[in-house]
Amino acid sequence: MRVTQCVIASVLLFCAVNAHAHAHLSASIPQDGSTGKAPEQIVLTFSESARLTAISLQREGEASRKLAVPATSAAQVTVPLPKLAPGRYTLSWRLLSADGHVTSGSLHFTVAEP
Amino acid sequence: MSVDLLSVALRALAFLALFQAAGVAIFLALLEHPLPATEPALRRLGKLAALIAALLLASQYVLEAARLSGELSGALDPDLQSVVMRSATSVTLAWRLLGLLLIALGLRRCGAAGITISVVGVVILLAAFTLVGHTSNAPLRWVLSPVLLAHLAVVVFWFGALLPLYLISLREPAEASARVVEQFSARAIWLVPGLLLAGIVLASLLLPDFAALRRPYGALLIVKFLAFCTLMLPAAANKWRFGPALRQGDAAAGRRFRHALTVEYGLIAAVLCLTAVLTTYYSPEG
Repeated sequence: MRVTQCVIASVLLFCAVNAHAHAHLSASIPQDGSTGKAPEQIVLTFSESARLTAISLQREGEASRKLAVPATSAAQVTVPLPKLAPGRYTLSWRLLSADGHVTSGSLHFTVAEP
Repeated sequence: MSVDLLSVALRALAFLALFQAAGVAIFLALLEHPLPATEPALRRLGKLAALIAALLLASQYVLEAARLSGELSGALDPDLQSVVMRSATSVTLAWRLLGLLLIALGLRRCGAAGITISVVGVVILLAAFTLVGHTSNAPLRWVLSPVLLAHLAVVVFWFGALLPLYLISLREPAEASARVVEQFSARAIWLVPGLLLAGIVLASLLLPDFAALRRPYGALLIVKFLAFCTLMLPAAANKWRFGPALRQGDAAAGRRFRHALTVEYGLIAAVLCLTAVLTTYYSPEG
């Protein structure tokens, strides 16, 4: 009985801690690796509220360009995009998590020929 | 050099300096007999380490804004500096600097008052580690924080004692050196397993599952564990062979003892550098 209680407590302990971590990307529009028409904006959804501090977009073979970042913390961030020509793009970002850690990430998408 | 790499280098050096400063304070606080030939040098070492740690932490803080932008020029961005100023990083820095200041002030004074001030500094310095990172916002921080504190306290005790022991074995008579080594070993035999235990508890609470051991964070934890196991070799040699041989005043034993201490120092320094990489680039879940 005591052993069972310990196992259950350990499992609960494990699950509870796992609920919190550094903010990481949980979803995006367009999705990572997707191909489609040129998006007018990008929507990034993070695992927890975070302050996006830098975001840049790079078309393959071209220089990277910085995009405007929102001035507040949020779990979901929408960033307007300039008109995109067909090609493969890499979106990179940096953010400050609530626990003070700086994290970075990137995703790729392809804009198809119309 | 990339901003992140520079930040890792500063973080690693800051770890070495701050653990050294705190370690000297704890070493002197636990000293049972005066060591007239070495104590002044140890106090100087502790104060110097505290000063270097404070400078490195301040540099790392300035660089934090650059990390937020991904470019070195970000360090001069007032908006990003303002973001850093309102983050957990600045609170942590303030407490760490206070801790280092108290350590340095405590080491300036002899006697109980000096010891008390420096030990309070060590407690503040270590407690600041729980204000940032996973421990700071986990729902079970009341479990994680004391375990992390225990883990760090043993690192301070162990790492911080290596340079003092090295100097003592060089400067003090054989009898006094052997006595200090015996006292250190008697405590280490109980505390060092606690370091491993606390590390395992932290890893089991922070890693989401066993598969996480195959991801970078988990893999680096395994490397830390292997480094710890390797560390047991010179530590055991000092406890059971070279340390006791010091009492005979054997010059060769002294050299071997110091050589083993150097190996221990190098391994712990490597583990601290690895920790800097771990906490800068990776998180347990990714």
